[in-house]
Order: sequence, then C-alpha cells, then structure tokens
Amino acid sequence: MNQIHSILFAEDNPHDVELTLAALTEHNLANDVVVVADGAEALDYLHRRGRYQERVPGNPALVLLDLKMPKVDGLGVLRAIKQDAALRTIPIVMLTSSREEQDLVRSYELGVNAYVVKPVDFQGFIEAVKQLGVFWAVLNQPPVGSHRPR
Amino acid sequence: MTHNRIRIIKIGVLVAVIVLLSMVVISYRTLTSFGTASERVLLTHEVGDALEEVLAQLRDMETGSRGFIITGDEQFLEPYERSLSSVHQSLARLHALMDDDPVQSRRLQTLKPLVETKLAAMQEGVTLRRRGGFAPAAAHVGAAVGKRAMDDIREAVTSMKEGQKRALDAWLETARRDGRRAAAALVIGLAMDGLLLVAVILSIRRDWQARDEAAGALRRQAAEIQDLYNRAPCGYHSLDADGRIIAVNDTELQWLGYSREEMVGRMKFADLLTPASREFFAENFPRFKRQGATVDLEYELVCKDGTLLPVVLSAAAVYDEAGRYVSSRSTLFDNTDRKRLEQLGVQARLHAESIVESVREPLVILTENLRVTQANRAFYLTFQTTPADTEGRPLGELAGGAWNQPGLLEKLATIVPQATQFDDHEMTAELPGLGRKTLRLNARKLYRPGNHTSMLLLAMEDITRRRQAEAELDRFFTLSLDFLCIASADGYFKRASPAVTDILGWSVEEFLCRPYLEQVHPEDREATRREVEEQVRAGRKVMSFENRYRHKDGSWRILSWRSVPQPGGLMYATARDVTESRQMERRISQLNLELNQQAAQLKAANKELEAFSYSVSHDLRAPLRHIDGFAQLLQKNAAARLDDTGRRHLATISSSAKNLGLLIDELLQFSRMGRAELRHLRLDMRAMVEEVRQSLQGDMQERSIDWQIGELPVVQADPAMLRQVWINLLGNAVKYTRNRADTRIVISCRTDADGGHVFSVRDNGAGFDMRYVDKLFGVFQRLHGPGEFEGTGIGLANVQRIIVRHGGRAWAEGAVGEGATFYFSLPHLEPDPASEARASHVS
Repeated sequence: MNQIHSILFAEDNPHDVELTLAALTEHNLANDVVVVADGAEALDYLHRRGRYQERVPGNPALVLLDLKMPKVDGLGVLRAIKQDAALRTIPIVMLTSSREEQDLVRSYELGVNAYVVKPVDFQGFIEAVKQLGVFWAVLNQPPVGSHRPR
Repeated sequence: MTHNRIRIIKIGVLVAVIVLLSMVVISYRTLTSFGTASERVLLTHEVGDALEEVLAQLRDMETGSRGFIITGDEQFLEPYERSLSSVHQSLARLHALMDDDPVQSRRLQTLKPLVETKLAAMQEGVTLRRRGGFAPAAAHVGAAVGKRAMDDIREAVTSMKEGQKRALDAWLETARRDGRRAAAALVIGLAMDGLLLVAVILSIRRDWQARDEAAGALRRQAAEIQDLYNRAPCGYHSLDADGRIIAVNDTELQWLGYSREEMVGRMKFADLLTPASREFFAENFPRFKRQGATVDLEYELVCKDGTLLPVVLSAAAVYDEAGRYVSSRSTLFDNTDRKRLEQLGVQARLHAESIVESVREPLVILTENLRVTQANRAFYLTFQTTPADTEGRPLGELAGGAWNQPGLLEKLATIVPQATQFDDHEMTAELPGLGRKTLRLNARKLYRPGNHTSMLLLAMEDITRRRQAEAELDRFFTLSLDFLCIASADGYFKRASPAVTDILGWSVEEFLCRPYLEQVHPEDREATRREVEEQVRAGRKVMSFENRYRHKDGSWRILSWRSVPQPGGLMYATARDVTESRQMERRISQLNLELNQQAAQLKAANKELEAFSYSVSHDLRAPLRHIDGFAQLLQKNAAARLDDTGRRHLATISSSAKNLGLLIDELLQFSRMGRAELRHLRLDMRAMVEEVRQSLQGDMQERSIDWQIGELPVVQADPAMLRQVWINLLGNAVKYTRNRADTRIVISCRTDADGGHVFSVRDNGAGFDMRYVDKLFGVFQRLHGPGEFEGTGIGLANVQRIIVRHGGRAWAEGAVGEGATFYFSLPHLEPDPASEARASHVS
C-alpha cells in the first residue's frame, strides 16, 4: 500500500464504504483510497494530526464526502477545507443519498466541486463514482502537491 | 343780606338799648341820690340851726331869768317867757327832723330831759325870786344847778351836731362812691353801646354793599340781556296795537339798514313789507292780537337799500291786566338759507328718487294711512304689476290682498304715531302670478317737509331662494346619517343633527344641554380636550379622531370625527358611529391573529414534515441502496453457486428494492411539490414538451409513436413543476399505449374565455373506465394492476397538485380500450417584469 493516497473517502456507513470500495476496486482505484468514518477524522487526515500525524505530507487528489456523518458532517468538512488556503484547491465531491435541494444549494454555496446523489441503482452509482474517479483522480491534472494514482 | 346777619344786627341793637336803659336807671338813681344829699345837708344845717336855736333860747331865758332875779323887774322875764314857748317848738322841730335817724333821736331823747332840767332850774330861780326875793334866788343860782344843766345841754348839742355832721359825712362818702360807680358804669355802658353801634353800623354797611353788588349784578344782567336782545342772531321787535315799531334789536336794524331813531316810534312794520307780505300781514295782525301768538309766518322785508329779505316770523302778544293788547314780541329768522336749503332739498329729492328708482330691492312709499303713493321700478318688476294698479291704493288691497298679512299692517300702522321702525319682518305670501314668496321687510318713517306730514318707506327683499336653500341645508342637516354638529368654545354643542338620536339615543335637546366632554368616556376626555385645543389653536382640520360617547342606554359608542375649526372657536364636525366596524376590525384582527398562529403552526408542521422527508430521503434510501447493492454484488460474485430459484429470489430482492426506492422518491417529490415555493417564469411550453419527449426516448425503445404536437404557447409558470407535469402526462401516454402497435399521442392547447390556456394530451392507449375518473388523481390510486402497467400511483396526484397550485385545474376523459385524454388549464397571467428578467437570466 502506498503511503500517499490519492482519494480521501469520508463515510460513516460501512455498507456504503464497502459498496463504494467495490465499485472503485472494479476500476482499480481502491488502493488509492483512504477511508475515514467521520468528518473529524477527515479533517485530522487533511491536517496531519491525531492518528494521521505521521502520514506522508501532501494533499489527496480528491475528497469524497458523505453528507450525513457523526461529529462533523460533510458540509462542515467542506466549509473547513474551503476556508483553509492550503486545502481549498482540493476537488471535493459531495456523495450523498439526499435529493433534497437545500443540501445541494448549501454545498454549492460552500464551493463543492461536484454533488452526486447516490443512486439506489448500484450500476448508476458505480457509473457516477467511476466518472468522478476517472475525472478527478485519473484524467484531471491535479494541482501541485497532490498525487496522481499510478 | 343773610338772615344770620339780620339776627346779629337785631341782637346788637337790643343789647345797646338794654345798656342805654341801664344807664338811664343808673343816672336817675345817681340824680336822686344827689337830691337826697342836698336834703341831708339842709337837714344837717336845719338840725344845727335848731340846736343853736334851742341853745340861744335857753341862753335868752337864762339872761331874762338872771335879769329878773337881780332886779326883780318883771320886764326881764319877757324874753324868758317868749323863749320858753319857742324852746318846745324848736325841740319838736328837732324831733321832726331827726325822726328817721334813730341815733340822733336817741340823743334828742337825752337832750330833752336836760332841757327840762334847765327849764325847771330857771323856773325855780324865778319862783324863788318872786317868793323869796333876791337872796334865795341868788343862792339857787349859786347852787349852779342851772349851770350844770346848761353845760350838759351844750355838750349834748355839740355831740348831736357832730353826730349829725358825721352821719352826713358818712352818707356823703357813700353818695360820692355811688356817684363814682355810676360814672364808671355810664362810661362802660357808653363804650359798649358805642362798640355795639359801630358793629351794627358796620354790619348794616356790609349789607348795603351786598345790596349794591346785587343791584350791580342785576344791572349787568339786564345789560347782558339787552346785549343778547340786540345781538341775537335773529331779529326782535315789538309792535304796538297800531303795528308801530316800539322796540327793535340791533340785528334787525343791521339787516334792514335803518338806525333805531329812524325806526322806533316812527315806522310801522307794514312799511317794511313788500306789497304781497303787507297784505298777508294786514290779514294776520288782527288775528294775532286776538289769539296772542303766531308761528313761522313767512314774510318778505324790504331793506333800506331796497334789497329783499325773506324771514320767518314768530310772535307772542303781551296784554295788560285788563286783557288789552299792549305789544308784540316778535322773532324773525333770516330765511335766505332755508330757502336755499329748500332748493337743495328739491335736488336731493330728485337724487333720492333716482336712487330709489335704480335700487334693486322693491320699495314703496306709503301714506300714514298705508296707501301707496309711489313705488319703484323694482317693485313693479318684482311683483309684475303697474303703477295704475298700485298708486293711490291701500297696501292691504294690493296683489289680491296678499299684503293683508296679520301683524304687518298693524306693525306699519304703529310706526307713524310711535315713531318706531322695524327691520327684518319676514312674511310669506301667495302672490298672483309669482307663487309663494318669502319676503323680508324693513320700514322707516319719512318726514315730508313743507306740509309736516309723515310717510312710510317700506323696503322688501325677496328671500324665497335663500330660504329654500336654507331649508335644503336644514333638511340635509336633519336627514344626514352622519351626526353633524357645531361645537362652540364654551364646551357645549351649539347645534346637533337629529342623527345623534340614532347614534347615541339622546334627543338633540338632551344632547345640547350639557358640556360635551361630560358625555365622552372618562379615559378619552383628556385626549379629546387636547385634540380640540390643538385644533382650535392650529386651525387645522381633523380628518380622523376617535373617542367614545355615552349612549343613553349606558353603553359606549365609538365615534369617528372629522372636523373643521372656524374662527371664534366654533368647530363644524361630523361624526360616524364606528362601533360595529371597530368591533368587526377587532374580530378580524383576532381572526388574523388566529390565522397567523395557525399559519405558524402549519409552518412548523411543514418544517417537521420537511425534516421528516429529509430524514426519509437519507435514512430510508440508504438501506434500500444497500439491499440492491449487495444483491447485485451477490449476483455478480455468487450467481454461479445459486440455483435458478436462488437467482430468481435475488432478482426479486433487487427489483423490490428498486421499486421501493422509486416509491420513496416520488413520495418525496410529491411532498416537495406541495411545499416548494412557486416561481412564475416565462416558459415556452413547446420547447419543454419537446425536451420531455426526448427524455422519454429510453422508454420508447423501438416503438414507433405518432407524436402530434400542436401550437403551444409561452406561459408564466414554474419550470421545474411544469416539467414534472409533462413528464407524468407524456410518460403515462407512452406507458399506457405500450400494447398498441400504432401509438398516437396528440398534444394541443386552446385558449379559454378568460385568456387562460387548456392543454391536453390524448392517447389511444388502454384508457380507463369513467366510473373511476375520481380516483385517477388520488395518491396511490391506480386503475391498473402492477402486472398490467407498473407505477406508484403518485404521478397524476402530483400533476393535479402542481396545476392547482398554479391556479388551474386538471381532469381526464377516457374509455376502456379507447384511450384517454388528460387536460390541465393554466390561468392567464400578466408577465411579471421581475420574473421576466430572471427568466432571461436563467436562459
């Protein structure tokens, strides 16, 4: 496992984690994914503190955020990232089961880069994640300091 | 001279007379006293003489007796004998002289025995001689009895003489003192009298001076009267019975140019007159002499220089005690000015007449017995009558007796005798050809110069229209539904319209008789007073002021006031009873409050629902997604290890999860459609339909569908919601025509009467039984089983909800096996410029 990961995935529901990782695995992206269980941990990772104190410096190429999470929710993490000059260039994708418009509006207001409603149809979900993963983590030229997955 | 002074003079004179009388008495007494004194002196002398006589007689007797004794010659006894008789006489005389003097009488009594003793001694000597001859007699003489008696007699006489002298001296002394006193009294009395007389004389002199002054004043007064007489601004003269001038004043002389000498006693009054006047005088003078007075006779005098002088003469006759005419006292006034004034009067009358003629108010001039002498043009015009029908006729007969009004003629009739007048007498009369007229009359007494009669001027004003206007105003005031009133500065209503009774129950009289603040609710009084003061002070209108007034039944009514202040503290105000509407407003605001509360509750409920939906969308969908996802994973990774039944179950799990997901999505959407804010944007329906049709391409696969899309308008609606409508309707059309080989879907629009649009989607699919048409738009209501056509039963419910929110209506027609037509209407909305701008920004 590489020390530097390309995708930070914050999701509290283990089922969703498993399904998402299965989808990413299908596209050979799973090895580049760091999974955290809540927003606080995601921020710890990004700021290299707590249990991530020792991690190799550098920002992930992409952050996938679940909206509803314990401690700090997706919008909270998003706000924190976008207010931090060192982090704000990281592409953020809000990955959520909510179709509620208010969540979407709030996310865009806070500067989210993409907002994906998790489809119940798993194929659709795979498709969305694949597109995002390919776009942000593979095809897109990441900003300096981020790491492209191999 | 004053009465007081007369009294003083009287008293002075009386006192002087009394003093004089006293002096006379004193003088008399003094004189009497002097008489007595000489008598006393005489008496004293007489007494002395008598005493000397007694002594002499005694001496003669002694001498005779001694001669006889010596000689014996009887011859010698003759003086003795003579004196013996006279001695007793002398003693008697003495006694008589001393009768009133007790001291001297007593002395005389002592003298008498001595004399007797002497006489006896001498008698004895004589006797002895005769009898005894010389010797005894000489012895007897030698015994000196006679001598001692004689000596005693001498002593007594001397004593008596001295006593008499002393008494005289004492008396004389008293008399002298009295005389001095009397002299002093006389001097004092004379002085007093002199003073009194001087005072009286002075007083009388003053009196005389006063009388002189009064007389002088009288003379001056007389002179003044004379002066007045002479210089009076009118002529005075007196005529005797022949008409001769016996007195004339300077003024008249000056007028006429004659001197007094030329005139008085020489000329007759007739000589001064023009022939015409002379004739008049000749006629009048005898009558004047009989009757004693004449007034204001006009004469024309001829002056010395020939000029004429018109005068007005008044005269009174003076008669003697027998009643015979003595003279006249005539007063003459220069009549030149009056004549000129009369001339002016004529002009003035012409002037006045032209004014009367041109004045717009009808005027009539009446005689004292109310007969019309004249009327002006306005009168004839106003009353449509002619001078012929008017002049000379009694007022009461004019215009068919219309003027014969009770009160009017009587009122007019009192004007002349009582010198009154009246203003603003109002009368209403039926005038022929004019109808009912209200007139206001003013009347005045006019003096007619010359013949000393009076006339009446009656001026009239037609106030019919004004009265009508007032009556209309009054009716307006009386009938107004609003309460109208006039409030005065004293805090009372001056006038109030009867509407007050409807509004507050009080009669107008009841309402006016107490201060209005008393009738205002105590809590509103201060505000009302302030409002009124402010209004009166600032003079501004009040357009809306409310306070509570007491209704007669004790309740309070809310009055809404509008008022306009007028100078002098008057306020013209209208009030409306707004009690009911205020109560209504209170109820409405109460309802509003409740409504707001309900809305708030609803909002809260909505919020809760939203939270619930939110929660559902997250938490309900996640496990479904997991079921499906893991079923898929199982399918993918373990399908080979399952038998057919297992694989079928796996597929059922997966599709059930998907169905449930769909159902949840649509329910959420349905819920959201009801809550989301409606945005009216400009929307091209044709483009939208086309877009939705494209999106449904996936469902159509290889089916051939005959789409007939008519002209569709641009509307004002919420794009997201309308898209949902079209998705549902077109989706349904596609779905329910699935079993048709030749599918035809017709989309069209027509405009209804109100300018709204009615859209329709017609298909030739499965159709439905019109008996169940009511169920079509219900939530979860389906007319087909899932075996026939899949679906959640929410789509049409959503359509209806969206259309209703847009103010339109959704309905359907159809028959089983013959297709269905779905309609929805949208009301016409004017494009909103703001949403226009938003729409263009969105596009």
